[in-house]
Amino acid sequence: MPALHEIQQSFGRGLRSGDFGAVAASVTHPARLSIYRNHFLISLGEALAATYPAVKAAVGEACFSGLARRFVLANPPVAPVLAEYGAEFADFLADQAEVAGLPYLPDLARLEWAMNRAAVAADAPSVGLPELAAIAPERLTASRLAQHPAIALVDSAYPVSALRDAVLAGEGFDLTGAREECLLVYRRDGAVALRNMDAGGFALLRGMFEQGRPLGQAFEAARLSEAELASVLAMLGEIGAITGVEFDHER
Amino acid sequence: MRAPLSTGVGLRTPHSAAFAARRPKVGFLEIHAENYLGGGPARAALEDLRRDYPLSIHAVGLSLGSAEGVDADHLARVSALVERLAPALISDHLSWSAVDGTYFNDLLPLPYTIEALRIVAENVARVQDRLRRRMLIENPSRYVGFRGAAMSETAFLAELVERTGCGILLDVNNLHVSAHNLGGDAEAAIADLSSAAVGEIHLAGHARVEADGETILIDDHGSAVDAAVWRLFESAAARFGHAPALIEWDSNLPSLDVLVAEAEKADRCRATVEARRHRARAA
Amino acid sequence: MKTTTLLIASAVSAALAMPLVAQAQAKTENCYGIAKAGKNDCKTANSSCAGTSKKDAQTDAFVAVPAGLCEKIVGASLQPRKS
Repeated sequence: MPALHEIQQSFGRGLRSGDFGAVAASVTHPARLSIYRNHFLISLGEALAATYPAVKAAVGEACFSGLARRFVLANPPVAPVLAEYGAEFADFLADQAEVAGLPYLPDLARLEWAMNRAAVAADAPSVGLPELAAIAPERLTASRLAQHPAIALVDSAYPVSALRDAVLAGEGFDLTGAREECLLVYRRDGAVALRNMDAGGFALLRGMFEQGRPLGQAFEAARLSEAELASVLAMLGEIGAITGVEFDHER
Repeated sequence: MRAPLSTGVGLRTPHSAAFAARRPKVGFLEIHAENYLGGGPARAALEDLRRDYPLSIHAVGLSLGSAEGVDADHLARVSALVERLAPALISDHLSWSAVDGTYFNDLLPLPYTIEALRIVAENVARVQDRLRRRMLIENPSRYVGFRGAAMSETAFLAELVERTGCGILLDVNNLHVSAHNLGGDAEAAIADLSSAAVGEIHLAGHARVEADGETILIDDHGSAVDAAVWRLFESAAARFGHAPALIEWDSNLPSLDVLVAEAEKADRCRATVEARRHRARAA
Repeated sequence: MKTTTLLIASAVSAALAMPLVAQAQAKTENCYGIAKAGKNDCKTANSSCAGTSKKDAQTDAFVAVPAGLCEKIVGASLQPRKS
């Protein structure tokens, strides 16, 4: 019998390709190897369907299962935690010819991924506004504010949260003349929450949280007024979005 | 914490709210480690329930049979969870799930060879060293066997216990499913296992599927425990009277009442077995 | 004109004095709460056994045309997404 690592590599190639090669000769019931392959594709397809219910409702069961199968084969999991599997699905959808006529689909998937992550992201204690106020202004301006792990920013040329509601309710949606949407996804009181942001506040959060800019730079780049900044900070404080204040090493 | 003897159930999140509201009497709750490695509401609900129920952490993703070894990142996360929840029991399977950087989300079969025994023993020892706990290893449902295996599954498990000090999680449904699918004697396997090594017993439903002119049993955890598996459980309960039992139900999830009733049925079955043993001793 | 540092300092002070409103303005989704099913388990998918003898490698690439609610989602321009 071949060495275990060789068997497992050959088995793994079989699961991915359907051709079990040398493994078929080593097992008692070669035809049943397809049970393992089917389980690999079906169970991961079910995990994707649980993460992306609105995408599934939009394209229908048959189309979704084909897309999921193709995705699983192209992007199989690299780690065991299935709640963390499928991050690349939105980008994958943007490249699939069969759904090219549904230009809102990748954004719908981005929103669903952000909500899925928000539900299971690690818990973290937040830094409140009084703690920010206690920091010397020069140091605060130069600091980077760390986001809660559940926070995500999703923007779309389409009103993607309303579209998601409609699709999950089994209804259609008219996108004619619809406006773009900037969403803050977070977790509060045991539930995932969505909040609409205006473009300036959204740009601030993007600068701080996604680009990792110091507060002062992110604020300048977002071109917010003092009052606008105050209301964004009040909102971040209230939802516990900030979990740390990082200072660059003294130069 | 000692594991209780009355039968437990697998905690599935759709039942979390009903558990929290009604606190039904079951011996303990078992969770899949991989579903609780993050935070959020499901984790918070578990933290609440663990005040009222002993816990068992059943990992599904350590891939103890991997020739490439156990994934260090995943082990670190499972270890942190074990430290936080201080469960009565910890277990994973006699199978493998990952190779060449891909995780296949399945309990894939191992050839029961001397080489595989060495590899699984190294992996189990590594996990036990990290967790600083004895773990239980579960016999999986199998659909294929390997030609040229050096030993039976029970001999492999016995040798693994010998080498690592681990215990056995005996899944009697898996035993029945594998015996049917591959040809084998589940009763003989129960008789062969060392009584001291078995630390937990699993019960679950399976499906009968006709394919290619043969009947294959699929371990789908989607129904009540089958009559043949209850008969095996009687034998297991008679031999491993100290090991707590657990009902697993994952697909076609029933109401919590039905799940709890299945656990009560296991308790009644054990009581009957125990009474029979007392009578036999008295006679 | 105030410097960035001064603007930020006074915005933090102003934020401290603001009433709590964020939660009231948000839309919460309880379906992502405790009832959301865990995705890892140790069962075998029941339908894994279907067609074990059939060579299905050629179906790996097949994707059916969309036929869900998307037929009722109208008015999307086919312009590429902004960003």
